[in-house]
Amino acid sequence: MLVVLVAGGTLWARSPEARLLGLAVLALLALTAFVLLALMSAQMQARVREDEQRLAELSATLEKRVAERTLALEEANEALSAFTYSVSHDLRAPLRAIHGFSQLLLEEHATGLSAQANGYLERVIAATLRMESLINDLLQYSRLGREPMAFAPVALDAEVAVALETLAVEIRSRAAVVRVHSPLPVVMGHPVLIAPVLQNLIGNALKFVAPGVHPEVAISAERREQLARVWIADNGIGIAPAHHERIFTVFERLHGSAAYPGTGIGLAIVRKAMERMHGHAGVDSAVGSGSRFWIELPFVG
Amino acid sequence: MSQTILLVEDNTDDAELFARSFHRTYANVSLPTVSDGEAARDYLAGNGPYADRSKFPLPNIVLLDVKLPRLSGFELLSWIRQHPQLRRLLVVMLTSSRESVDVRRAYDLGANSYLVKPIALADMQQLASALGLYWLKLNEAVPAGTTP
Repeated sequence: MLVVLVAGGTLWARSPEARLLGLAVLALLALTAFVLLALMSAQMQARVREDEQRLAELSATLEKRVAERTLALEEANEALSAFTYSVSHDLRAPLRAIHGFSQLLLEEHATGLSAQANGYLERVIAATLRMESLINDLLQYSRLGREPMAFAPVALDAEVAVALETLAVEIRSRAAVVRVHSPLPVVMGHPVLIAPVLQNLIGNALKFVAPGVHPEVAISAERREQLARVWIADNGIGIAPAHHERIFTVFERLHGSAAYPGTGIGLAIVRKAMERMHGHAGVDSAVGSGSRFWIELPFVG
Repeated sequence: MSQTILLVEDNTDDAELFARSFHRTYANVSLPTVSDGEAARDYLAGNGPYADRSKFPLPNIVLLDVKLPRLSGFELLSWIRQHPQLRRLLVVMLTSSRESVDVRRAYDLGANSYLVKPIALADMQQLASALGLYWLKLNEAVPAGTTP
């Protein structure tokens, strides 16, 4: 700075030599400054290019890692589904034998067996039927992850009617009242996925009531922008908020088989089927005040 | 003329439970059983010991499981449908699998019907009874004689 001032000062000096000298120094300084700036700029540019290159490399590596992880996850999923399918499938043959021969014992040798022995056999048979339910539900759960599906508009009125038809015996034997607030919307999904969802939710509404109570189920729907939300409300025993998330996981049950039969897979099937259709399922409930289960799917019309 | 159903089943428990269920209603229908795909093929082709048709009559219906040792149910079905003399044989699948891929394949290969083995014995008895009624009594059999 001082040099600049001194050099600048000489410009107003008397002698032309001094003025020339001053000018030369100033020019030299300017040149140096210019060169320095150019160098700095080049260095900065080089650094920026370096950083950009590093970023591109990292980005490519990240993409590759994500792709590898996704593939690994898909393969694991596929393997798990295949395993569940194979296991559930191969468990049926011995189960048939256990049931069949126990039943034959009862039918053909009842008189030769004590009342207690008969009782034991009946419990064996009851257990095989429970196991059959379990295998069927597990198979259905695993199937949800495997079969490729294309989604299309599905009329929920028709699907609910089918579900109620399937549950007709249950509805009659419990003297249940089921109210459907038609018309229900048309949504984007697949009947093969929607059927078990409705069957499980309506079936649960019929099942989880206090002893002696007649189930009352109300099915309604509302539009929520791009989505349609279907409510399945009941007058059942209700679910404490602490359990609202847990109940949707596999094998989670809140009651023993003696109180309410079940495999603990129904709601897991609901959630998985909903996820496959890019929808959601949830519940609004409290103990003693019934439950309102809901599912959401893309609204079509 | 007495009728014959060939049961192709590798699981001895399943074979026995089906035989008992079936013979409850159709005691006079003969139910020879083979436990692998190759034996089934030999039986149908009349190879080796099976050449004696008085002892091993050609069946009216083949009850076929899918999972079999040596030759699978699907391979046997394929072979039957390509065989000049046997191609019209009535084949009813009787298997554990309810999977769409298996059902579709069976129908693609020309199975006449597809039945899933139930767990409960009472259901098996009902199935056997209905099977006999439909396929032996009601269904119009393939006419005997040389096939053009």
